[in-house]
Amino acid sequence: MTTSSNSTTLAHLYRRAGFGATPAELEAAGKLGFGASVDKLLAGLAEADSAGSALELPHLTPLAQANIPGFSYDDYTEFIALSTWWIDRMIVTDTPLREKLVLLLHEQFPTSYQKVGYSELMYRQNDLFRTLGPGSFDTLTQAVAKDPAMLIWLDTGTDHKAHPNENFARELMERFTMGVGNYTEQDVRHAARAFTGWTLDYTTGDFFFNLYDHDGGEKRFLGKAGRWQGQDIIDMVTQTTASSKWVVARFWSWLAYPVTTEDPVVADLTPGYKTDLNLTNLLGAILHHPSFASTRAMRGLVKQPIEYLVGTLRLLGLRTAAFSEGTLVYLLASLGQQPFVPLNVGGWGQNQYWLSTSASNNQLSLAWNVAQYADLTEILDLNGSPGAQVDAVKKLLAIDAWSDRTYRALWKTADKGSAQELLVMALVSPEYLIN
Amino acid sequence: MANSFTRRDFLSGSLGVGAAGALQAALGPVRPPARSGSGTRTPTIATAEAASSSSRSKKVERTLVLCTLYGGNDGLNTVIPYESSAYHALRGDIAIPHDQAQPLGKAGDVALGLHPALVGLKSLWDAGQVAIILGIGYPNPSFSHFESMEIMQSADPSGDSSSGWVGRWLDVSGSDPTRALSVGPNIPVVFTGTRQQASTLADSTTPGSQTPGGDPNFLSAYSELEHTYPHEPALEAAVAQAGSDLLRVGAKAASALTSQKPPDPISPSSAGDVGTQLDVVAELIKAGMPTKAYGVMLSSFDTHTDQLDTQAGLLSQLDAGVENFMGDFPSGSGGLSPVIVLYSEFGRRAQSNASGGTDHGSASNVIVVGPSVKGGFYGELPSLTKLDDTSNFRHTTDFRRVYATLLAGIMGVDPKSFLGAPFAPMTFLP
Repeated sequence: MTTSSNSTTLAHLYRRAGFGATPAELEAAGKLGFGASVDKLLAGLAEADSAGSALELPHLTPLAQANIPGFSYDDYTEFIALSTWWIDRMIVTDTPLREKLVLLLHEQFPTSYQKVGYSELMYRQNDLFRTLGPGSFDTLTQAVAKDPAMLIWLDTGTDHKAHPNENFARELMERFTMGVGNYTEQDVRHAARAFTGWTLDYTTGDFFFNLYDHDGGEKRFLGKAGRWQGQDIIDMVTQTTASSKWVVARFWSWLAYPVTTEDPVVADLTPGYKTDLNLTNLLGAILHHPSFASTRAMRGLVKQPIEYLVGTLRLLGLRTAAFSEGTLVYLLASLGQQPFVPLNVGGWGQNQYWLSTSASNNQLSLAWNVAQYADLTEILDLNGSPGAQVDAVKKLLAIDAWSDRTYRALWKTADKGSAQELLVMALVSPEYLIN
Repeated sequence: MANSFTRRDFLSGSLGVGAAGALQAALGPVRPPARSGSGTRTPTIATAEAASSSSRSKKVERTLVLCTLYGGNDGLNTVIPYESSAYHALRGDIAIPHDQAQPLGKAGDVALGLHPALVGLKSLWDAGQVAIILGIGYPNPSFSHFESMEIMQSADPSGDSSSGWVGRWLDVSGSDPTRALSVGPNIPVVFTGTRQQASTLADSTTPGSQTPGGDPNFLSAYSELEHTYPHEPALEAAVAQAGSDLLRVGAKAASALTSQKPPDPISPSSAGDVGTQLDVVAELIKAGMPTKAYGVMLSSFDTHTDQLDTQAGLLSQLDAGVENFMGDFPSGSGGLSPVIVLYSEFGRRAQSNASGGTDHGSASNVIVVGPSVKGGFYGELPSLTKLDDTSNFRHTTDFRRVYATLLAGIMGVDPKSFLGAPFAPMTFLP
């Protein structure tokens, strides 16, 4: 039986564990029920994504070729095409939780094309998140550390034994695994020594360990002395309790509502995560947790711009091809969340971070663009009945209920304006932006 | 690589949003992009008041333009003790050669010079409009970009405060959402109070296009949509607040700017993206906006590698932006006196690394520029040889003294209540 509260919870599940459900997907989920729907989404982490894989990857010049002196190619066009491909993949995917995980891992390990400079390397990292993301966080972090985009982004690839630079070692601990306060400046310096010799072979684009530029001496790290290498450092940090709390808190904050590492829900989930550091199991524990389906969680997050765009296009049955080249990427840039271009290694913030006067302006801009292409027949058919039109747009956007305030504003728009204006107004409503 | 200009502008978001045309067609007339340095204008009420109050009191109308350099700008290679052998020993192959620094004179007994890319700043220094405050920092420095930036912006060395020093002023100085405007999509901590925050202007759009005006019915419904209601959940209310502030900011900017002569045809800004941000700010100041604090930013100063080229490129962008901006405000121009403040979350490690770069450090300088600034050196250069136990410079002047000076000299308030304790103002804003 599909009750209203059931469909509300399921719509919430699909928004958080993916990019929102269409009415048809919601109906199918209603037959399964909440628990089985969670399991179905989790199963998708290990299944083939037939619709996503069927998307043709744009041509990306391989690093080896891009580095041939005098070789010229249009990296700008490649980059726009790659960004658009990713947006499209998030729209069409059959395994939405895995695509959501890819986005969250981009936020966990923020890496910017602005410094990396090769679309092919950004794609490789993106695909690494897709293939290794559902497994062990330790294995994933080891792979990300040797990933060419990361080697360039945090300067590991230009590190030298003589006087190592600390960029990767510090951000590994501060941003990727543990958070400040869980390591000392000595830990940073000794870890930096362990990563010396990690470099990038520009002819293949692969990781290369240069033994002759590696500091093989003894290091003291997190209280233990040894001839640690980079791999040892990553093993040690990912296995700390501080790291478990950090990872749990981050994923809970992205999927349910923002918490610190000291929140009771983090204490609840940390022991389970710490047994295997497995992200599939962590996602399962979060989505099955009673607080995930709480009112606090359901009204706990401002949609991030990428979620806002992708979710809206999914609901309206639109694809990136409807828009002129680069338009969607520009819109996301104007809202401060351009895929593959985080501002810095801190990534993006949450909630209030996405709200400002220019954000409101650019949400209108995005909504208006999208509304141009939406099929609004169902709303147009109800011309002359503003109340029914407002209900129709509520169903179209899978909104649970409009507040009286929003209802009045939408009614007025339906009464005096066009169907497109009604959709725009609904897309910038607090009820749609928060959930 | 091909199209590097296009790519840079695209990444920084300084090209127009492709969508804006459609939005404006629907919501209002397309205004030509504003640019600086254009023609004469009819004074608005606000500037007329400012002008008359300035002639009465002989005081200039100062506006803060806070320019945040994200990533940790290397202060030591910005204001360089180029004759010091200790400097050359620390910096080795990334030291700025003796004959490339632009000599500024001595601070104490140390000769200091500006980075070779800062030619515009050098001429402003020569005109007596640049204050360089040496050795700025706070106790127990954090080497995290994010923690240190939060400390710098909150003016709280404990790192516990989540409000900024300008934000706390916003909390108690009224409710006009145009009192502080930050360029860019997100609001930095410095402009966040406990109850109020700055508004933002997208640098990809012109101020006039911030108004979702045009179709009066749509606008009226939007204004209803963005009204908070009693007991509205906090996040929904915050969305509505941002929307209603947008209407107020847009209306104010539009009315200020429509009183101007239409801008000349657009010429590409030579100053890159921080220049574009400063252009928008200059236009708003000249139009008589009541804004007391603006925020602009430039990032990518985290030069762990390849510092010489990277920093030179960034500083030259910054220099062009600042010089172009100040060209709009010659001293005595109608009493309008912007004060640009250049600061970063930290300076860099005293000794360079083997990657041609520098790691995260501590104390650095703050540079203040403007027609009403009293130029010269302030504070004291940290010792290049007596480093702290993390091999970093020891700060000589508490960073809150800079903010005390700005709060007193620009906002005209007693700084104490915004900084938690009394800090003696400095003398660069007489």
